[in-house]
Amino acid sequence: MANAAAVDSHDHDHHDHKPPFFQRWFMSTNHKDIGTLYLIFSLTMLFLGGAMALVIRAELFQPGLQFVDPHFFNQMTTVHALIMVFGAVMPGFVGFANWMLPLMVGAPDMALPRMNNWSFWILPFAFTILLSSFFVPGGAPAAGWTLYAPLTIQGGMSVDMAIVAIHMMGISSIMGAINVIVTVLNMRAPGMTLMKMPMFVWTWLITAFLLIAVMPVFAGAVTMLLTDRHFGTAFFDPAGGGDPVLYQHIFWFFGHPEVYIMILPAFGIISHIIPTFARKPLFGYSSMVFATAAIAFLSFIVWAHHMFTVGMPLQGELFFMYATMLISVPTGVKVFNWVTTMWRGSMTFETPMLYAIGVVFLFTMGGLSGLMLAITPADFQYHDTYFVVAHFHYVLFSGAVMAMMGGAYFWLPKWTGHMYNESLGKIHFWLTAIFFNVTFFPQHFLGLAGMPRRYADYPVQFTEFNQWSSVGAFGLGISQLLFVYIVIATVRGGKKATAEVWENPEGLEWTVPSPAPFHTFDDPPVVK
Amino acid sequence: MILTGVFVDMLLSRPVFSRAKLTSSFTNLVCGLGLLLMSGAAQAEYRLNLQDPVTQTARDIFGLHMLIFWICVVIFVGVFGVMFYSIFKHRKSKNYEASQFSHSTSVEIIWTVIPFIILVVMAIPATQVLIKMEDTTKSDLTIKITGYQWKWGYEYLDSDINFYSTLATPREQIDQFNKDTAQPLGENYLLETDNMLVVPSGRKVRALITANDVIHAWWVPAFGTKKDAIPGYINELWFNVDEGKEGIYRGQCAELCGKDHAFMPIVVKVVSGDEFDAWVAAGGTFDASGIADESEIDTNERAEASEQAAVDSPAEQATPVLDAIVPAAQASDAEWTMEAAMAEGEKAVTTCIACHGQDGKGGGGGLFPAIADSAVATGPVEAHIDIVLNGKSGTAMAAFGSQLTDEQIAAAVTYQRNSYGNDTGDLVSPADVAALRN
Repeated sequence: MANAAAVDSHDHDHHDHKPPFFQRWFMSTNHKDIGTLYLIFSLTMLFLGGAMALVIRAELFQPGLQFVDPHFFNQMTTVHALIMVFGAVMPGFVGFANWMLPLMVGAPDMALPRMNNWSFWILPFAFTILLSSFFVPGGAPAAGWTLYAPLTIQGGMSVDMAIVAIHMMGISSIMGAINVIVTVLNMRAPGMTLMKMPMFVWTWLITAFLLIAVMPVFAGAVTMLLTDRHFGTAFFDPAGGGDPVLYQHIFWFFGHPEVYIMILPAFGIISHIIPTFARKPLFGYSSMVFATAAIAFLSFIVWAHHMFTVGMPLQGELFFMYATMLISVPTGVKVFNWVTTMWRGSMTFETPMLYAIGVVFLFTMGGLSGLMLAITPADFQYHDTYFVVAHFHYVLFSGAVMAMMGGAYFWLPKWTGHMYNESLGKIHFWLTAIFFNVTFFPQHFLGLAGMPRRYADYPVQFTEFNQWSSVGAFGLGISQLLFVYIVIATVRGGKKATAEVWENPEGLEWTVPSPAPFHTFDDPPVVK
Repeated sequence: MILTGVFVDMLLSRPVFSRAKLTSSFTNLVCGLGLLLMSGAAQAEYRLNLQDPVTQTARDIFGLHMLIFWICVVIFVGVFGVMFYSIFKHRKSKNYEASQFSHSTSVEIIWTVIPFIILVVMAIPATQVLIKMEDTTKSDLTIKITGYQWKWGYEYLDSDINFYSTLATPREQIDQFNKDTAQPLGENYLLETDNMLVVPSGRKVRALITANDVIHAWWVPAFGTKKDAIPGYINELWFNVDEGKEGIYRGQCAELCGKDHAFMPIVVKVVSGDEFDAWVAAGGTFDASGIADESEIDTNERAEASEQAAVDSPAEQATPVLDAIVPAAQASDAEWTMEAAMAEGEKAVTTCIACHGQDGKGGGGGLFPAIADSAVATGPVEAHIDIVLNGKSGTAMAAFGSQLTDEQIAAAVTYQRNSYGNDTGDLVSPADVAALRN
């Protein structure tokens, strides 16, 4: 397979010979171009999903209904989440994988370049189907991104469109995951044993196995939903003897590993940034690998902590409580190792490092509120409130999304050949971090005080913190325009980046010139 | 506006403790972190922490919550104290020379084992509380709670009392789209119902929870109870409100159940055991038992329209108990005139307009069909009654046969067939509905 990719690259005599525009961007089999496509797609979806979040926050600025009716509000919460999870975060990390995995393992391209092309190009069609559901009778899906039956059985044809879109996204993700596994297992440079692989490669390898394990489960759940809706089955429809709780068990068997699918690659990125700017090797490399694997394993046996209130037997609740609490051990190991990597380093605080520190700090807050949520009796109070909303935005936004932003600043000079504007980058970081906290920290209080989530309208005592949250959300959204400006400006010009970019960074990607030529590692490097 | 107030307060450094009864520990922490505490005086009281518990279970949960919270705070401060120390000391700008150590097995074993021990410390009390919470035996009375789109039904299984509990906040407060018709929000906005669940203090109340259509969740934060109401399942929970904590407690539906998820609150009136017995003996009526029906007072204060309605049909308003299973005494045919049916229908269709719209033009971008000029509301009467009685499977159209009386259904159907531009002239009688009930 390695040879196939190598032959492909021999078609071009020169390293930097690029095909004409249409062939290059629409028929690409080049991992760098496909990575770029994925990243552009992800950023577009981030803004689209963010716009929906702003509709939500505008409506919630005051009690009473001012802008949208509750049905449309539910469409916003549902599609915001579907877009952010499947359109922004997952493709974003696939974009990083495409760009960086071959460079990190010293491979000329991904192992399966044509499949790579296909797995990207499914996505725009999948999201076109999902988004066009706004224009069918009844509007877009409004049952929450979890698509719980039997509420989804009531939904209009948009639910069917969402199911088709989810199948397509699933196929795309599985193909992407296959590509990662095959590339990593077969195409590493001579001498790069598994335990010498960079952390980002490790975290993505484990993520890819999670994807292959759980995306088919999700596909199964939504297919059963589809047949319940149209073909007279009653898997989940109680009217026909079906079991609504079964849907939740299947969904969360997918849904919990999905959470780690969205965070493990972020852990990988952080594990590259911190050593670089601490000028010190990553502390406890092998325990980082084992911790990642342990998190991945545990992610399969904790799913029902999302559904403590469905009325499980005591034994079930105890099991899922204990298993969930256990996850904090390997996660703690990762945090301790990052902090120890900084300890007695010689740190500088360029934008990627600010992001990495921000992620470690804020993600840990989300992790600790996650530990609180694991405690079943307390979860009965937190469940389905804004406390949960705050929790998962702390792990998803200040974990996954901010890690991607940090990663983007970290590798942008490698991708474009130009240094980004450091001052603007730092401003972008501080705006993002501050507005993020203004948006989501008050939501902890809202949830504890008793505000349920997915509410289009709320009692008056929740007003103040909702206003903080709404103001923060608009600030957070607008600040991201600065990110777009910085990226475009860096693509267009700026100080030339050296091959190493940073001070003695670790990794093969820093041995190729900046910008990385169209084809790299035609001859594999040797890792000692 | 409020935010400006908050900023002004921050500038004036108003005392942080001016208001809100908070657990002082939590407040201290938040103060310490300098977070979001200042507030304008004009707003309704807000909270930073769980609601004040009124049951032993809720107190246990509160204790657990605070225990874990403080453990998390200590861990957080410890870990990030180290990190920020490092950030300030170990930086290149201070010419700090980077050490090159990269692992230490002993340290790594320590920080794997210590968190594990902390987890065990957390798990023991959590397990104890959970075991108590799941023990629904030896209850003093049992209430069946059913979630509907979008209201709650309550049945006292030890007596014959049963009724529905629907949002009492007037539509004019909720709809703020048009400032001309919008009313200011009441004190208990979205936390008020026409009928309250009445429970005694000092007795173990067991609730059986289910749903009629989609999943809901019954939650009263002060009781420390939340359980999903799932169609096809009967879940259990229990609570025992402390004696001396009689009063009104409010909660909301906590599982997304469609359009009006935010509009099906829970209001519980806790009375003493004696008062409760009197209430039950009076068949669940307030007048006869001598207990103030605060729900009705609230409603009348808030909405003059409903006051007018109460005058129109005092019989229905005098008792909050709607006996849905056995239809109320029906008006004789002589009294069932078009005028009477239309007047009754205007009230009865509140159930329908939740989805089909105030103007009968439908809603949800077509998900909820229009009544105006619709095939059902202008076609055969029997089909119209049938869909109201039995619902339409695979859609949000529920079977209202068990929720509404013959009289209410007849009135609603009559109203729909002669409003919104429909002019079939049909007068549907309660007998017509009764004839079609199975």
